Amino acid sequence: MLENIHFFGFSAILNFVVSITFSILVLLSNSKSKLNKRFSYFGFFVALWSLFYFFWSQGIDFVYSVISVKFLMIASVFLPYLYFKFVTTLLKKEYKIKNLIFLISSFIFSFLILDNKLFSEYRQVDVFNFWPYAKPLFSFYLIFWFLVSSYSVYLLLRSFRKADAVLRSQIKYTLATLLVAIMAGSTNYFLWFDINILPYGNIFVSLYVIIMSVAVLKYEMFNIKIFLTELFIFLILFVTLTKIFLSVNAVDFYTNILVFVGILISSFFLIKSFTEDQKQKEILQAQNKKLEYFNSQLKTLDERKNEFLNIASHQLRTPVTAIKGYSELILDGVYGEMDDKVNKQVLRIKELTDQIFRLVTDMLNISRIEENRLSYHFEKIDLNNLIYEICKNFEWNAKQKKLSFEHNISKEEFIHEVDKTLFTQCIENILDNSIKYTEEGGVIATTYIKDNKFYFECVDTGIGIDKGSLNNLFSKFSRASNAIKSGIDGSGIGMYLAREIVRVHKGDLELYSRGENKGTKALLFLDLDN
Amino acid sequence: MKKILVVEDNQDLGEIYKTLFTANGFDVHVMTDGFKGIVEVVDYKPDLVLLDIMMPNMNGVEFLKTFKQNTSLDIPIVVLSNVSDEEILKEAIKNGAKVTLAKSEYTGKILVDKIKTYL
Repeated sequence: MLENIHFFGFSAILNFVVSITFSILVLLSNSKSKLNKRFSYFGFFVALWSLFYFFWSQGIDFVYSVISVKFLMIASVFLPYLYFKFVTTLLKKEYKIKNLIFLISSFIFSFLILDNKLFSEYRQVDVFNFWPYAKPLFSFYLIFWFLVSSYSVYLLLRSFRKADAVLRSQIKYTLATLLVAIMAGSTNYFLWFDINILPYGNIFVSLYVIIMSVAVLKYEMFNIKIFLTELFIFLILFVTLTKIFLSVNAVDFYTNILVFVGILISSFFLIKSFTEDQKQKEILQAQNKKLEYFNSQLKTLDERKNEFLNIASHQLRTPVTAIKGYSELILDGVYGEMDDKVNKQVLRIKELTDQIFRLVTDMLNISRIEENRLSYHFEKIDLNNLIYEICKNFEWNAKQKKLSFEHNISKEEFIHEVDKTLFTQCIENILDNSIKYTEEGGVIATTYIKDNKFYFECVDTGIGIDKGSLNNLFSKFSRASNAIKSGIDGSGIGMYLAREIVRVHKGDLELYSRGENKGTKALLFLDLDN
Repeated sequence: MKKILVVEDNQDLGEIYKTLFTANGFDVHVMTDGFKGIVEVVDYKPDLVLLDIMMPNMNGVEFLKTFKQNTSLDIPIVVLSNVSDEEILKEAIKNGAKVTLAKSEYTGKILVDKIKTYL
């Protein structure tokens, strides 16, 4: 019998064996997985096609061959549909209407095949005794095959860009499978149109199994690694067990028993370690997914926080502007003369609203920095004069706390390009901090130029910074632990924001303190090299 | 006496600007939305308009567009707003505003001095 099988019969039977084995393995390894099911259905139809191809190619008698060619063509009609189903499962998508259209079309073509509408009349071509002639409708079958396959390719390519690394590899292998199937299978169609090229490509159909096997091993496409290992071990055990019963003498018998027991024990540990590894991997994957989920949640929360900061600070500005406006009108005597005591308290209201403004502006700028929306408008300004004016505004704050406030701001004009509003905010944040955290003594503010750098230095005799907190003070919402203990209110964003702004001005901000209750020195500098 | 039209929907701020500019020797009318502002600008013919951006009925940018398209009056318009969206502020300038000032920065005497430079 075997010597009668020609090359094309052999390639068909090889395809059948390889496809059916691989499909069964994929299905058995995880029969609950949709992806495994879909792939094995595709494989089963390739196997069916190969089996009937074998029967037909042998051409034993006319009726037998005609039935076989019809069934092999029906199996072939369903292949693009089954491939489409596999692709949509891999991409986790559902196309109900297209699915229905492809399925109905496949059935229609099957009926047309059975009814001899696609091909009829047979002739002998080379080793094929009964090769059919294509009818005009046969071209529609080819077009259908091409269109459905192309649509699956389109879906794969469309998802490729957004896919993660693993899915990308799986898509690549799925595409390669189709390419191999088309290239190998297409060699069948020349003879239909009287082109004398024999279907040598069929032998390569089994290649898709090899490609998918690589996908399985490298990217765990169908999760059958454990199953394959177990199967291989059981096969070895079965062979060694059989050898025991086939032993020819006592020595052979005992040797075979020893080999069997040895393999049995090592197999046990091998499977155990393999299963544990797999479990660990699954746990890691699950944790990874959880982490990804929490990460995306955190990002959303952060975006919402920024949005809230943005809205809250905007909404706060209008009433605060009104409070400031009324207090200024009262202080200007627009509503009549007030005694000094009332005036003093209204002045305090005005100062407090300025504090709120600084805080609101800081919050607004933080949300802008984080969304990369903070824009700078640089203009040439006399920095010494600007800082002098800011210091003048803080004199009252220092006086209220009975602190000395010495500002040795150089009288010399020093023109430099800065964003006036944001730079003012930096200086205000530094001065505000120094006065706020100093209960006795005072504050000295100085400006000078040294080593081609412009310096603004603010030294106070305040509560200082404990060593543990010094490095964290430039983090957002971070405050020194001794500052928190002191009970003085603070948001922990002033220094963070000041440094962010100064850095855009090609400078930096540094804080120095010898420890708790030993005062603080804030040093802001701008690089003048550029 | 120079006339200032304040177009501001917040009643407190409207009151503050009215009091502030009146105390500094101006004649002041306050309108609470852009639509009323446009009607008033034709009747009152102010020397300067102080315009808010975020307002009901007709916002500041719509006010500027309507003013530009429908009148031939040459009145300086100063935008005074807490809006920080650069795009909106740029659009205001594009549609004829002389300058955009932040409400929170320009208060009291600083605001009066600034406004005087546009008269």
